[in-house]
Amino acid sequence: MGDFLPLLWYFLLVVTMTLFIILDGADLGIGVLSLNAGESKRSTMLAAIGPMWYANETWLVVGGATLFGAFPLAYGVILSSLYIPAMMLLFGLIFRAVSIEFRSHSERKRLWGIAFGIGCLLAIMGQGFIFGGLFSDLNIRGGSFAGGPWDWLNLGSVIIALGVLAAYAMMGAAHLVRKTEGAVQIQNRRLLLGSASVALTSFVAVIAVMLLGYIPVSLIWSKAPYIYLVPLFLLMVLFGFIMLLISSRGGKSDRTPYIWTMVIFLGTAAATICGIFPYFIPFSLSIKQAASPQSSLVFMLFGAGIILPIIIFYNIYVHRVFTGKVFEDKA
Amino acid sequence: MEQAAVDIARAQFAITTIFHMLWPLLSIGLSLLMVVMEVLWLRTGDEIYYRQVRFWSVLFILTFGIGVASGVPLEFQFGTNWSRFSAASGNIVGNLMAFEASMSFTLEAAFLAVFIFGWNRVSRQMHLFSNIMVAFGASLSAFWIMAANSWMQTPAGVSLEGGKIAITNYMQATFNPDLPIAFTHIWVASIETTLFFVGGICAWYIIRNRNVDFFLRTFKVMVIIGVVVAPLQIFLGDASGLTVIKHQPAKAAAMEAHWVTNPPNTSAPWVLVAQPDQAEQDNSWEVKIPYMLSILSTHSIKGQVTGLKDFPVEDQPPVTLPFWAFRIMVLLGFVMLFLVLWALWQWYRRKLRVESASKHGIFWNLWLYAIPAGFLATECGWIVREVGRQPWVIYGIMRTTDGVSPVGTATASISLSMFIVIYLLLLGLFIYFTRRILLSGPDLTSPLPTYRKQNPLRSDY
Repeated sequence: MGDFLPLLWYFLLVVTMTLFIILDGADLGIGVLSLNAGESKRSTMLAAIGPMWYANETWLVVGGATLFGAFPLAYGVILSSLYIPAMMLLFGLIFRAVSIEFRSHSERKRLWGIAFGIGCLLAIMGQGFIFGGLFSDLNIRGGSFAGGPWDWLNLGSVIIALGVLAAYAMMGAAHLVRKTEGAVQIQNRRLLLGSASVALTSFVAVIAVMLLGYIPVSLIWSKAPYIYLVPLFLLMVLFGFIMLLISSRGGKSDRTPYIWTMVIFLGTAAATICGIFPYFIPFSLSIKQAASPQSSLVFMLFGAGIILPIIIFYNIYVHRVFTGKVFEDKA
Repeated sequence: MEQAAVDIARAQFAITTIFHMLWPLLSIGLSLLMVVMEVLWLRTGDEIYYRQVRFWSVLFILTFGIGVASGVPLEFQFGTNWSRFSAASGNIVGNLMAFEASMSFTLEAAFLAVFIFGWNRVSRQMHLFSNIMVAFGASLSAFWIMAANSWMQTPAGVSLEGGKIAITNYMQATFNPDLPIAFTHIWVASIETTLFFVGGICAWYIIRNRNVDFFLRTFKVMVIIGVVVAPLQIFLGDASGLTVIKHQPAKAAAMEAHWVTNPPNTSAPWVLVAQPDQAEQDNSWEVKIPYMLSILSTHSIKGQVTGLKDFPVEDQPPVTLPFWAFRIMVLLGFVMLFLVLWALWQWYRRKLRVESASKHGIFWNLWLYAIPAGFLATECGWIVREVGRQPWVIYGIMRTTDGVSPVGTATASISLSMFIVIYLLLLGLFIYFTRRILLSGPDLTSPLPTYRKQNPLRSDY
């Protein structure tokens, strides 16, 4: 039991964050894509994320709270050491949320549309730098951060953040191909190809700079037994990219590109986790070290753990209510 | 930690909380109002109740949106600015926050989608159910947040092993002594705050002689709720005070600027107003009412009430802020009770009628200007609660100075200034867009919802 509960909670945390990234990642990506779209297209794009983005953002809050409750040490260390990217994420999410709200009541639709896009961009860059920052050899002493405010900023984290941006844009474009018709769909088939190419390039670039040693904490230094699984998942990612390019070229199915973007994301996430396992922050804080005491993890399991399947159930229901192509039903 | 870093972190948490709180107070109350109106709509089939749901839901969605936007940073601030506190208390405060996020926030957000966009997509039962889930999620959210906060006030079920906080009993920690009254007090506060917000909006329309019938209906619902809630809240406030006296005597003494414990068999006078002077450990001037503090605090004439001087200076909370905030809150509580009783009297005298309602200018104007009353009272209560807990972040266990993150003062002051600017902007825009919504008024012409007969899970798309 001693090792099992932290691992179980780590798994639940990964599930939560995965759901956040595949669901809300697409919403945020659409926000960035909308910066380049005219006002009428932007309305359709917003309608495509309209009903669900609140529910999708809740996964971040659930993930953050799970991190706080199950891994309080990691929660404190990550957020205080990556203070600036964390603030970028938070301010970005504020802008995104209120811009959508204000846009619906305002006559200055363009202004709020741009604020919405910038909010999404900021939120994505915050996430990208948090992710990149974790590989920045954070100076952690005695369970507390002892470095400077800009330690997360380096060549590796910049490339990772750009990759995250391209990947979210790719997911957003794939979501739009799935949810829309006509001009917006045609435009986003093109954008899907473009963003997927950028994402693939940054993916390769990350691996290259990692091999060249420009990423302060690199997977290749990992002694984890699971490191041998990493190439397998990297192949899965490459396969996903190839299939995505093929499926978005053909333009036959509206749904398949979206599924391939998920394969790409899941492969990347699995490769990263296998590469750093059993560490939480590579390679200074392990999952076990970061975890709450046993009793706390059990207590949380009775509450949040049992409720998780229920949340997933009703979220599936709500997503089902809104399946199909977007049509403007103004509330 | 240097004092400046602590002050900045405290200022940031205080300011973001004070701003954020405005919106959940309103969204909890509005969500309940929407449930009442939708039940009335489905039971009576009277179209006006459907229009009521739609009208108030426009304000609800705006409120909820800004509430989420301003609230997400709060959850992450525990980590960004209070990492030592988080690491020490994550195994209980973090758990309760996780319950909040997973049990209530998700529920509210997911069913809100059905509530807003589902009028023509789900059955009428499902729509009402979604509405109830939104309201239930909002209230449950307040419950878990108050569980976490009240544990910081009265940390129960805990033992200290080698300076580390270990939770020995999770049930005791969750249902700590302060929770029942703290949650009830703030939940009723949200209802009362919303009551005066909605009542004030009704007054605004009635003064302008617009949609009088529509808003008199809402107003009457508010009066009925108010008759229960306004006196109840004063009673809950008293009960809350007794909990503070029992568990946090230093806070109680600071709230009343009561410095010296009255000797046995004497009475403690109540300081009505004063200028507290913490350096001198006394009040520079004061107006006192004999016997009153003993009566209020112990419900007996000669009850002994602990004075603040009984606590070492380093364990004393600041006095001036809790003292005045407490007085403003109590005063507003009675003002609101008065306004509700006056409304009841007007109703009894048949003055809440469509033909003649707008004649009673002073009455409606007072209701209009009472819009901020509930917000102000609740904020004051929160200041009493949080400032009164100082110098502790976890009462009696961890000092606030020991909880902050090792984040530089420069970085933290930049984020603090940005929060101030952005939250002020949010408040300004909220008021601006609320005004716009009110100016355009309720929609009385759009088609009624069509609903959906069959279960959408078995639908064909």
